[in-house]
Amino acid sequence: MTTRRWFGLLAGWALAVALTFVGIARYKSEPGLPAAAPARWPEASGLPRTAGMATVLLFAHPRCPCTRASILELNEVMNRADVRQRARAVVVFFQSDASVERSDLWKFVSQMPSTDIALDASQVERHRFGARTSGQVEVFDAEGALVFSGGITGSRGHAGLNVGRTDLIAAVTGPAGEAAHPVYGCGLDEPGELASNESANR
Amino acid sequence: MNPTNRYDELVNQGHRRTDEVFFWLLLGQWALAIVLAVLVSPHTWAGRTPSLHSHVLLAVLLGGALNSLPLVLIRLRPGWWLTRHTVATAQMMWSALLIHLTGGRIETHFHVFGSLAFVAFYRDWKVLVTATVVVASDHLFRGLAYPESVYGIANPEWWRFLEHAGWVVFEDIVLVLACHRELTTNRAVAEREAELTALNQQFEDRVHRRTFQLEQSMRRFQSLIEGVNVVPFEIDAGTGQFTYIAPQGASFYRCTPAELARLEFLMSLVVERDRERTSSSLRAALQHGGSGTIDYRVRRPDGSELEVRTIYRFDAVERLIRGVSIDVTETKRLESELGQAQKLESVGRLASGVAHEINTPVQFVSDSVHFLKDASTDLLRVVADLHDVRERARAGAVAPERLSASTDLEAEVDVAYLTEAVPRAIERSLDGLSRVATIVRSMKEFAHPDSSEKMLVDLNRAIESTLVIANNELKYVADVEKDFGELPQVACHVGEVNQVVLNLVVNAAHAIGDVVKNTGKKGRITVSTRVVGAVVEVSVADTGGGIPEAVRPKIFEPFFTTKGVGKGTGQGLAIARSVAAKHEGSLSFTTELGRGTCFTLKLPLDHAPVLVAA
Repeated sequence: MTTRRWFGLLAGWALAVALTFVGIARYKSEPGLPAAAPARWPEASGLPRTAGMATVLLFAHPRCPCTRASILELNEVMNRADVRQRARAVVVFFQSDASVERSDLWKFVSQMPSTDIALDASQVERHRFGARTSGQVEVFDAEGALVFSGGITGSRGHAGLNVGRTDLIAAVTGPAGEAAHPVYGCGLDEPGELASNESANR
Repeated sequence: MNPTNRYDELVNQGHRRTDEVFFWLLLGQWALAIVLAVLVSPHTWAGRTPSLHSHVLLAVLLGGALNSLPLVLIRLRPGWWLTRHTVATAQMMWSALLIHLTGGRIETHFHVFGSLAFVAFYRDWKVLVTATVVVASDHLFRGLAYPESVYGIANPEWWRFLEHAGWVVFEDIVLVLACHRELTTNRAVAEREAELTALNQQFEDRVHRRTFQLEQSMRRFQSLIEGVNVVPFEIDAGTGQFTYIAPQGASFYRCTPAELARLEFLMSLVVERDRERTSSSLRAALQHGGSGTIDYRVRRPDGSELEVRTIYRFDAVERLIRGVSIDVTETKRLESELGQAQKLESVGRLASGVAHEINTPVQFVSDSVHFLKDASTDLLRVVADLHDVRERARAGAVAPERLSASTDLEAEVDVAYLTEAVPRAIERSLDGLSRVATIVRSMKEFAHPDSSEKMLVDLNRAIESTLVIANNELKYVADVEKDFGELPQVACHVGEVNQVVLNLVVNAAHAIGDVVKNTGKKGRITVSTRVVGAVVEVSVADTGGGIPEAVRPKIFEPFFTTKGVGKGTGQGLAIARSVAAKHEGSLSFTTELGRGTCFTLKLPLDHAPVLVAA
């Protein structure tokens, strides 16, 4: 093969690789379905809530690899003393299978400060709080008003400082920033459920 | 070898080796990425429904795409500059991909530094530049478009990529310095290798040339050794077996090659008469070393016989006996004929002297017989006269005149004188005849052909006979002094020994003759015999002029002579030495210029069975 052909191949290869990187970036930046969060804390909810403190809810699919980044971001937030003085977090795990309590995420969350774990076996709470994507965070202040709803990662599975995390902290410690952010993670709806929800939304 | 070429070769080898390292590194990274994707994020979920996670597809497809071109280039164009630049680009893209997939984790950036270290294996700073440009570009563009994927945060400072690139450049400096040092070492190695290679080439050329010469020499010697009608051999002193025997030995001994290889077989061919002697000579050589010559007769498997002479020499270092066996049948026949001819030639040459020796006694025998004839006539006349007187006396009386006449006759005949002289004349005649008989017997003994076997003889008597024959050659120039010791019967070929003694005494007479000629003086020849241990020594010493230094090494060579034409053929001492060798004895000499020469013949006292002389 001539050198010219090799150069042609090299150019094609570089282009293919570059385009693949762009494709990854686009995939990683594609958010999940947004939540239809209630404006106030539903009185019927059985999730724990501490009087006089804000409650940070994170709805998580226990097997979703991307949700680890969201949990890590929440961990960062809950490690802040100013946050812990004002809020308590609850990670609501979706009952995906019988061994959910043995999942890595469950174990990690159980070590996090000021954080409770709730098992939403029948997904009542998930539906109650309108969460549709794993990693969905909702913050209700001490009075029960929704002050934050959305994701706390910059993209799918990417931990690291991002606007969502910053605004979450702001929502707890004030002054509040942007209240809504895209969520990156696995879907919490079943495939059929997803279709019916979408048609309902339409 | 050119050092520059060798340097380029070493560098190219380094490139190829590094290509190979990357071949497996890229494959390993790909496999690791797939394994990690499968373990960490095998599925994405929609509720309880899993589907294949894009990370798995990404690991398989993007990893494969990333590796495709560099792997192909490594296999098809290893060592090519574009191959290593492509490999470096792919490796840095692997870093980018891993940083991307780990969300810009700072720990994953260490992959960049590890990759640069691998890229530095190429010892090519230009490849490090390519790698650096790729990683910096990735950080720049991805940092602008998607900062979380490279720095882990959404809003880094604009110059963050410069900070990362700065650390990469820092490592590059270290790596480029290392590359430079390595290349310098490579250049020095190349120069040394070039020198060594040149030296090696010289040695190889020399070895090649010498090997060729050795092969030529070997072929030459092989054709020499195997092309002649002798049988060279080599025997291991330890095993007593042949380590080599020339293949022509099979036709020499008329046996098979397998038989030829067995020393025992060849020994079995030696005729019984010679076997013990040959065998013990060989045993002695194997045990004590040295060199020697053995003559023996072999009877070949087809019944034909061969006179063989084996000349051997013991190599004390290698503990091997090397030698050759030669067919001397014809030589022996010629030697025998030559010996006889030389003997007859001696007899012929001595004939006039011998005739003179015979003539003297014949002369005085003749005179005595003439005297006896006259005396007997006179005596017969006296007897007849006395007979007549006796008859007259028996008839009556004898006249006084008759008696007076008878008395006168006695006086005339001188009976008294005859009575005294006749016995003396008879005695002289008998003595003369006895001397003639001695000479004739000596001649007969000397010229008689030898039997093929040794006989026990009185060596002193044999020498005495030889001296009688040579007497006429000796008596005018020398007095012969005999100093014969008491000898046992000696087993020898007496005719040949006589020949040797004759040659020695005639040579002695000639040597003395050269000194005393025209002086009227006579020299002295001393012939002595004695027993020393198991050897009989026969010495012939003369008072001649001695043998000049330059001539000494040649005197035993055939046809070498210092005598004038008609006085010698140059065969005498050559034959004498061969006779000594045939008896397993020796012939040596001591000489002093102006004082004379002494030749000594040593004959072993052979205890082997011999014929007894009749």
